[in-house]
Amino acid sequence: MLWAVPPLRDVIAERKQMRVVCISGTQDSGKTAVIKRLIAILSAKGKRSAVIVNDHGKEVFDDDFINRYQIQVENLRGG
Amino acid sequence: MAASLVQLKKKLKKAIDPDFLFLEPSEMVVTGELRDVVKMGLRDIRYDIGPFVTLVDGPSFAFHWEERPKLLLGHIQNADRVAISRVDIIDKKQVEHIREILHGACNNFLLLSLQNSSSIDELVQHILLMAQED
Repeated sequence: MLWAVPPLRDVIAERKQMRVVCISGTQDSGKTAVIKRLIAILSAKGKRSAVIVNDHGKEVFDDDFINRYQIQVENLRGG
Repeated sequence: MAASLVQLKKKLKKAIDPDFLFLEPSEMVVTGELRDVVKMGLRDIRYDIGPFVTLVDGPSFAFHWEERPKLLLGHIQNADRVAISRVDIIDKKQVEHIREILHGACNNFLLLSLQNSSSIDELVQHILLMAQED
């Protein structure tokens, strides 16, 4: 055997991968509040989350929230 | 935006590999554009996409509809789920008015209020169901 690679069926059947969920809308429509609530509910179900927010959104994810749910928040440049 | 998003997805996947990565774009990005941009990166890392949820702000709807109707329709078109948000601070007549105006662009709104856990639970179920189906 030349390479120790997993068979294709095992690669396909690996655990569920990261899912990108988009919450859009006008400013102050409640996007961040909804995301925070979703993170809390999914965390209670054992699901880990991360967030990518536009330039103006990162500050609303305070350290307490980030630490409590063990999330990572990143700023999206240009959008 | 596209290049930044691809880099951040790679970074987060490598750093913590979350089950869910929530993306909150600027209000200027419409859903069709967002779908195209989110696909970028699939060549380098593996992830699932969706749902795309659009929030139509109940209290400021009249203002936005008068000032920027194309932007609102751009948010709604191509969305998997459209929610009228903050419905707890507007009356039912206003909700019906929004529904009537947007009828045709969307005929199945989720009425979203963070004071009402059933509406947010419905959104969670939608996300989890989509994850199960893929």
